[in-house]
Amino acid sequence: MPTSMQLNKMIEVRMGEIQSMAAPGGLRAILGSCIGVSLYDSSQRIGCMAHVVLPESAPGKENGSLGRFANTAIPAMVDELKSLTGSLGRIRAKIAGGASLFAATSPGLKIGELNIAKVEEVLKSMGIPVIGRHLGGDKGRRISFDLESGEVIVEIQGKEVARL
Amino acid sequence: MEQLAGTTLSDRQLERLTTIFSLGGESASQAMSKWLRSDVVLKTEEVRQCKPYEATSLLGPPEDLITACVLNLEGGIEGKLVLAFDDESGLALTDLLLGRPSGTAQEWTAIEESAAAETANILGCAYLNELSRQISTGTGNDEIVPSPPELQHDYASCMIESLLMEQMIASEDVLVIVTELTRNTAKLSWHMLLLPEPESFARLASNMK
Repeated sequence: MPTSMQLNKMIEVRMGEIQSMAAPGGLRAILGSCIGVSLYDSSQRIGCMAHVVLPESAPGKENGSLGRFANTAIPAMVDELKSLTGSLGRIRAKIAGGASLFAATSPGLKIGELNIAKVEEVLKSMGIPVIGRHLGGDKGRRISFDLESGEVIVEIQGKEVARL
Repeated sequence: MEQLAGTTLSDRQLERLTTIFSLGGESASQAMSKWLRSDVVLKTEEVRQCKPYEATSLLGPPEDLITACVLNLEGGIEGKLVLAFDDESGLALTDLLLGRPSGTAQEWTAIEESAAAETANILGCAYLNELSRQISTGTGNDEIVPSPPELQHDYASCMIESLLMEQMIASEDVLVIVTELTRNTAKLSWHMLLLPEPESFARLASNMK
């Protein structure tokens, strides 16, 4: 039986982008070392996803692609959700990604781990509870955020589907 | 004019870089033809600068599952050399190398992975040796040293995302050298990308002046 997401519109969230929408429909992304941050307001069934590439913007370079950095993406997501509804209910976060695909050839580059730490830090500082996590490892993820239910489905090649 | 991490290249510089990479491709073509016992031609398609999300389709549709052999580069050019193919093309390559009828290999086992890695190694060394010669400044520091190949099977776009991460730290844009491969005049579904680190690219560009 088709799910609500298969029947409705899906928007791809590309590297460094922020996308938001109301149910029905969904948002999705393919992640390596990047983090997919999904924020959901269940009272209004609206959600927002950022495809965060790096932990932090360089000083003085905060403008431009806000979704690219954890420290600029998450505040921008909250602003976007507020602007969509006028008033914002309680929002919760689910996060996935932060893998290290090429650990042998890039042993010093632990961007995945740095991304995870920064996303967690920013969400905590903004008082947004994280109610689902699927992080780390050495494989890429395909995530789909169902705005009807708030569920985030995580697919990893060769593994069982996880539901957050 | 194009820009990467503060490096501005003239059209002439870009043209010279393309020529250098093309010479590397010629040398790699000879090595690959010998290895595969059939005519293989590597042609540098372009030196491309683009946004990271535009690069996600370089190895095929973003959600396609692909295999990538990655060599980390040190020395004259630092960065990564990537040989990538979809499963069907990659397994067909291993059948060819192992002298088996096409379609014998159905999945990646240690034998197929070893054959693919050795192919990347042979291609990479021939390509990089020629590049080292071309960029030589006579100081003896221009040799490009590749690591052993690392294989990964995953979604095309998350492979590219991870491979370009070092460039994305330094710049809004990424730079890739895209090479087309043909065998006996038929275009192959293999892709070879050279992904220089920003500092290496700036140094290379400065040598072109």
